[in-house]
Amino acid sequence: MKCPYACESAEHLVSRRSFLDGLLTGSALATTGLTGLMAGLPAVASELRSSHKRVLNIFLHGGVSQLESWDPKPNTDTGGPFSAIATSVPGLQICELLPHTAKQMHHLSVIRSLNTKNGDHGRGQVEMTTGHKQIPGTDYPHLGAVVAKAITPAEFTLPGHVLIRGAGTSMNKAAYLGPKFESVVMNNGQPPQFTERPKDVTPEIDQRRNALRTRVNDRFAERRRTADTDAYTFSFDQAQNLLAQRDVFDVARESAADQQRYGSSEFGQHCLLARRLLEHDVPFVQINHSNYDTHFENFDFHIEQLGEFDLPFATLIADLADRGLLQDTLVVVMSEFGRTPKINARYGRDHWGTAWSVLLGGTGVQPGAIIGSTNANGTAVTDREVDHGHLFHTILQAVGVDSAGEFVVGGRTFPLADPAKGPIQELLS
Amino acid sequence: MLRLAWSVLLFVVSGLVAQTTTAAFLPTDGQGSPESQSSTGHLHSRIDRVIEAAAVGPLAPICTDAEFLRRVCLDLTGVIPSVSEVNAFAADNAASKRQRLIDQLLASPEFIRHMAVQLDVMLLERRSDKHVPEADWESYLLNSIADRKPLDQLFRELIYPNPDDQSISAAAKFLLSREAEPNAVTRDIGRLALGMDLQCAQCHDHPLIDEYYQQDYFGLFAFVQRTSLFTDPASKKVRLAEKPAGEASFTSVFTGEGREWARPRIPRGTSAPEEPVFVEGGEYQVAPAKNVPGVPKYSRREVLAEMLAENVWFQRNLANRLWAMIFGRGIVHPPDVHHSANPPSNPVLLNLLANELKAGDFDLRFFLQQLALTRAYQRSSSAPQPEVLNFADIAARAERLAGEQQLASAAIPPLKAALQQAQSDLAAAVTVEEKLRPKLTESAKAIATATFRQQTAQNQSRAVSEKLKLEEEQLRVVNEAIQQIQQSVTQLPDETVLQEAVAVLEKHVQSVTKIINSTQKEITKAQSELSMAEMELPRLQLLHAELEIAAVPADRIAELEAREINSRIQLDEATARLKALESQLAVCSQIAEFESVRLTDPARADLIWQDLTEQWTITGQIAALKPLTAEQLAASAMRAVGVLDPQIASLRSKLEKSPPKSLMEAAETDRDRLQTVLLQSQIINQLRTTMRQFVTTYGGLPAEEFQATVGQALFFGNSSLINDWLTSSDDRLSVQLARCSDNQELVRQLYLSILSRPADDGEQQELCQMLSENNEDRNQIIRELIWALLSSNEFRFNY
Repeated sequence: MKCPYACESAEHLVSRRSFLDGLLTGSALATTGLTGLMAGLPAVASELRSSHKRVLNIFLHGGVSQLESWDPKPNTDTGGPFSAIATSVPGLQICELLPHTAKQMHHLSVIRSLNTKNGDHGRGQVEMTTGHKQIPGTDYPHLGAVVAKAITPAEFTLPGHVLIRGAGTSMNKAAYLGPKFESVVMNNGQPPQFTERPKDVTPEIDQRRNALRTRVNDRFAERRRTADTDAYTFSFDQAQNLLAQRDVFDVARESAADQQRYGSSEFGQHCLLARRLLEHDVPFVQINHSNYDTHFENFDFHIEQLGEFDLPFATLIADLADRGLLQDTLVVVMSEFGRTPKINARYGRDHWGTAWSVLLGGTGVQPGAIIGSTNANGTAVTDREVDHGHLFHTILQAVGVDSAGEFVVGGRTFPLADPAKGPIQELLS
Repeated sequence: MLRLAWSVLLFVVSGLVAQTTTAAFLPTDGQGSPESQSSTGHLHSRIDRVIEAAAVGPLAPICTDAEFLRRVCLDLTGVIPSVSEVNAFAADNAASKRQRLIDQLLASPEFIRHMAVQLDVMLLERRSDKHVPEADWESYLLNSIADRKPLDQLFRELIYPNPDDQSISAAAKFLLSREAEPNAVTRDIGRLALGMDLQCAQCHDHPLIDEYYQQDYFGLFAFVQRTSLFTDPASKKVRLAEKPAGEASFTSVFTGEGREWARPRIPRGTSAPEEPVFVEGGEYQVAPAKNVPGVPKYSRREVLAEMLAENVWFQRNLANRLWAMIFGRGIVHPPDVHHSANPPSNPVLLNLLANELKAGDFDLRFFLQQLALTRAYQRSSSAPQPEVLNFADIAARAERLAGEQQLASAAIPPLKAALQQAQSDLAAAVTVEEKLRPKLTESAKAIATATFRQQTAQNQSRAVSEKLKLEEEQLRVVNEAIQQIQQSVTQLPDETVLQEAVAVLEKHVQSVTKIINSTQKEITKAQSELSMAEMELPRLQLLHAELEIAAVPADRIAELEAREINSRIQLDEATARLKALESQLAVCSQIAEFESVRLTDPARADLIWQDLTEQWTITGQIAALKPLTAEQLAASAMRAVGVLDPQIASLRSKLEKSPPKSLMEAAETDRDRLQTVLLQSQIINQLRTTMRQFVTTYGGLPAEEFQATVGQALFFGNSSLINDWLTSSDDRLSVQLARCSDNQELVRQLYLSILSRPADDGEQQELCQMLSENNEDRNQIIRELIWALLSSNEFRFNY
């Protein structure tokens, strides 16, 4: 007979281990282990460093134009007014709107042959971030939830899946993976909900009441102890650890010099915050950057949007590379779709999923590669057509996750990625 | 059997002694076949006999009264008992007090509310509120439970909310919240009504589950694919519409094979009866128009709804889901993955429950009452100690089981062969059927239409002939008149009037003759139409007869289908029986392994014991620790800190003081019921915001994996919602406790309010000491105590 609770999952493994190790990861942490963590945070963080891979997903909302970014077609009927510039990779050119990024391209690779056969914002968002075709009646988990579940170590205290976005309430859903893997949201870069103690609850009071909770739990454990009771106990200990590390969410702690390098724009601040989170080993971070839906004045808008994007993004890539973080971190820049080669009467470009590009770089992927191509004026994929399903597999493989594997959740089996698709092998290193 | 009798005895007297009982775990001996033990007596005793016959290892003693009260209140009313309920139950010395409590709770308004919430979650699975106002939907559920609507009827209404019955129109939310999208509806009827998640069989045979075929998916799909959303252009109100035609077909994306026509068939069940044929243009009861949704005379969806109650998978699914609601885990788990590779943990039990659910007319209260009355439900959740095991007994048991396993295993190959034969026979018939059925339907429709045309032509020709007769008679009379007048003219030639009359009449004759001519033309036309129809009809009938000869007769298909279903059930049951025996054997060998490493490797032994304990929980030998649902947790925390009951009291008094018009106008006999439903509906509405916050934080789908998250702990520690509950205002627990000058009394009230039991001596002592030693603000300490108990495992779980 099968083990009655899913032994395969990390949260149960830690519970199982804590059965063996007595109260080591359990209640003892709340009373004694905590102080050590609180005192020596940076040390703890560096000890944990590199224990696992990370993913940074930058989502350009509205649909960035591939022609004004990764697949320029200057001097054609569809090319628009901008020229292409050389990059740090010989033979790879990108749009002149990204001069800083161009210098970092030796860390990055471009896929120019996406055909996602879709021009709907909602569907595009869902399909690009879940790697599945949208099907009525079925919700698939977001990439962040899948990555967080697949690679977050059981003892990891910080959230596994963080979404940095402008104001609002949207979330990256975990679907069948459960609330544990839903995104923790940092609206406008603010700390996640409930990470500040109420003003009448001092750390001493919190520690005292938690110690009391531990004693109540210890009594109950004498009559029955299960993986679930351990997990519940552990969640409170994790919360205390997280509160002790609350500074991780505070971008103001970064040096004035860095603040200046990244700039005061929302996106600049979010990039700096993402660096901070990745340095603290958060497995999945997503930054949303809005808004690229340029049905009117496509070119002016891209000057503005990519102008905001270019320098902080390039700075972030350079920093991740300098600090050795890129060895363990995969960076992805995606949208729900690209934009039409045809320029409309209002100098805009419309929705377009037929031939467009995404950017990848860092751990697990070849640097400076160009995958696939489009025809002379960008109206069709000519080589190595791929879609969201292949991309999803590739991202997972790049961070060392077997994308053909399955999750077992509550007795049900779910493939990690669309079984009908596979990774883009030649891009993987 | 003697040992069994002990536990029965223990159960009977538990009302008297349970509070102080330290009854030991009872070993089982597994004598006698479970089937023979399940045939007589109350359902709850039969359930226990089945469970105990299959049990290997200990049976936990019956839980204490305090444990029972908290457990049954949470399960039947969704909230922990109040302090006065705890005290009253403890003071009650009647032997039958548990049974009485169960009945009281089942009759309570809180039961209605709790079940409405449970059903809402189960049926809509937290979908966003759409198309039908949530208050209407909730009232529908509340009323259904208040009226003791049988659950099969509830499902019938959900799948086919009869458009003629306005009182159940909110039931359409089940389909409307899924946008009536046929794939979404197929999947969820499969999951929620039949316990089969066929999603992965939509594009190909299921890649992981051998028994879920693409034709199963499309068989179910065919029942619902004619249904769609209809939006009223003026009011924008969304309703269901259905078409009278439309067939399903499919192709596998893997093999390219498929079917041109998919029979509407309940997966692994029976097909829809042959459809009636309507004349072209006569298919609708209400024809669709711009502002009217179409209602066909024959609704496939209605047929599906009507077929459910007789379907064995429906019965098993429902029984399993109700069992899971009360016991924390289905006999089949997960509840929507019924198939032979995921067999019921106790197949005899699931069969018994499914049969009795149907025999009890799908009555929710009767079924839950019987579950709550079982010893299995009332057992302690404490982990057993290894001392309870008699290792020699277990070894002997293992030997017996190995013999049974061999027999059970030998029974399978012939059943497998029989199923394969039945499947291939049916498949052969269906292949013929698939080719001919659409043609047969078409030709039947053509015959009906031709027959209709023939009758119309016949009627027409008859009517025109009648008309002609009258006209010819008219002509005859006029001609007679002319003759008579002409005689008069010869007699009176000077009377010009007479000649003039003849001229007038002759003119008239001319016009009548014209009419007659045209009527004769009409007759010719009608007759030619008739003869055309008469000529066409035999041709069509001949064609139809030829098709029918080639087709498999409907009763032959029904017979083959019945054989396939029965073979499948027999094989399923035999497989499940074998797997159950294998599980029992595995437990035996785990126990043996435990014994062998007990002294040499205590850590490994401990791990084995943990596994065994969890397995005994699944087999009903030990009660489970069930995490409270988001709603149970919220309501219980609110009751414990004293913010729930004042809100309910205030709503009640408001309703009594100024009853709404609907209540005033209600018939005297109906008023109580109406007021109950109204109040519960208002309570749901009042608590909505809090419940949403808890659901967002704690998750909340049935059978979802338990997850404890940092986010939950942060919410519980730092949210203003929880912290406000602890502050000293109004009549909250913090204020009541602050009033206790006596520490003993304070601790007593604290435990009764939050953990629904008195503190034991150790706890009393520890907390009293803490309170007396502390120099800090007493109110502050009280807040910490309340928080610590609320955030404890004991509060988080129903144990």
